Amino acid sequence: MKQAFRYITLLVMVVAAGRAWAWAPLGHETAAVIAIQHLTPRAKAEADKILATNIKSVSTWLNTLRKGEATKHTAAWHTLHLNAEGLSTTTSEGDAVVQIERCADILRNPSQHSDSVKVVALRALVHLVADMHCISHVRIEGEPLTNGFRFYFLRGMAASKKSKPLSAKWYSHWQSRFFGYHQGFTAEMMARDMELCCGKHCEEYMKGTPRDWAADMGRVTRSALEGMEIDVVLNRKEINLHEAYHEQCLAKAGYRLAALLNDIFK
Amino acid sequence: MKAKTLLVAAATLLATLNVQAWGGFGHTIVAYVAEQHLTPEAKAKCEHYLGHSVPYSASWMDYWRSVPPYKETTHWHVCRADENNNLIQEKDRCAALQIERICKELKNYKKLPNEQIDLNLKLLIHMVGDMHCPSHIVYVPKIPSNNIRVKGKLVGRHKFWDSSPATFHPKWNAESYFNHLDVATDKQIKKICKGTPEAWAMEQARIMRRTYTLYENGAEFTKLPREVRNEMQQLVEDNLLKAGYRLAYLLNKIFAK
Repeated sequence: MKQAFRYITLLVMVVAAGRAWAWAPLGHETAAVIAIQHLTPRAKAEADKILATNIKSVSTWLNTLRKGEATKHTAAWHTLHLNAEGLSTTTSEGDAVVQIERCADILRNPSQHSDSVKVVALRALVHLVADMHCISHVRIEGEPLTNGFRFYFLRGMAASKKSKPLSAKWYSHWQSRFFGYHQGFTAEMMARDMELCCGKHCEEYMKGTPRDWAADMGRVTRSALEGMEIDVVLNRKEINLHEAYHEQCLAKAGYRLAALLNDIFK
Repeated sequence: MKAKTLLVAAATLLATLNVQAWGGFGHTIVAYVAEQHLTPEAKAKCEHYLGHSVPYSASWMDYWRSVPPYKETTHWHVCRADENNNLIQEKDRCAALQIERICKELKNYKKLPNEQIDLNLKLLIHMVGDMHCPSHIVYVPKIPSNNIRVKGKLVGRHKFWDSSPATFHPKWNAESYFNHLDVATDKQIKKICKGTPEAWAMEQARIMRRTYTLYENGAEFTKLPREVRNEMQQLVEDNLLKAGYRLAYLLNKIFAK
């Protein structure tokens, strides 16, 4: 009852969505579009029935709760916490995997929950599976850089000697920079491109559980952090090469969301 | 102090946006229009060599122009025209001549290594877009720039035209541009694609000259007469489509069965 009340509170506390920066809206929508293409007909029908819409249209909903007085505690749900070995072992409520497991549990036991609770659980799950695949949402114990840091990069569009390094933040680097490389893209266009570049790994990416995926994201994050330090100056090539990580994570988010929903609604 | 920090942050953010030729948005539109006009064979070949779609690769050249070994490409984003709108024949400083070189090379693409086809395609996709951007025709002798104000803020001529697709339709994406504007008949498209990249560049040099006379230096965009703003919008829309059709034409020709 207490849990149901809590989720219903969340449902009614939808505040106007401002510009949400937890993985650009396009990232969440892209992950959802990829997932839709890999859902079984049964999983798709179940998800659409619960939401009364498709998973793409609710993919950024959880971000709207971060600022609400009664729902601001949900801000902690967007982060993935890993131990020093890079494994997800936490049981703390302020963690993406714990919340994903909780939402999955609600959806696996539909008769025990009201429709409103299931709606909130599915909306949250759709968002958090994407968030846990965004490198800036990963925190690794003993890796202070995963708490975010500032770095500089050489703008160098015109290879001008006058161009001064620009300040950037690790967080926004992974949230929005690479979507800016493809302005004017829709989620459907982006999803198609992720299929083109990562489709061959689909089956491999879909294997495992959210805890396995968390460990995978720990490895990816550590790899992306190689050579990084606070105030490091990166050149354009180093920045550009990060795009491959971004693509891989975006594709994984979509495939794994489909895998999880297919398993829940099997 | 806080206000200063905010100002610096805002300036930094702005500096990272909209810094590309045609703007990333314009390039995506051109490539998306082209993609819709590709033969299935050409589309499949492009995606095979690029590992991505044509639109996804459209701005690659802007992000890699300062990185060795691509630094020489930094001069390939514009065409130079003399007072008679003839192209100045400097191969290393002219998008149209580079397009012709690349098309010639890709004619025998089966004999080229995949990496070279990939690179050539990325360059081609971008340069066809660039040569249809009003700010990417450079006149010799130089015509003084007519900068413009947008809501009171002075914007350089180059930046204004580069970001114009978003200025005229701020809520549109590449698909909306295509869905709203791609109404040309096959016959019209055939006419647009007639000629060579060099001839297209000379046509652009003739058309773009007019953009220096449309408004006074420092004029406020929102206060320009409606017919002038309409003409500017028409020019942008026509050129995005032309570039898209011509890019598709070149790619279809390269990958014809």
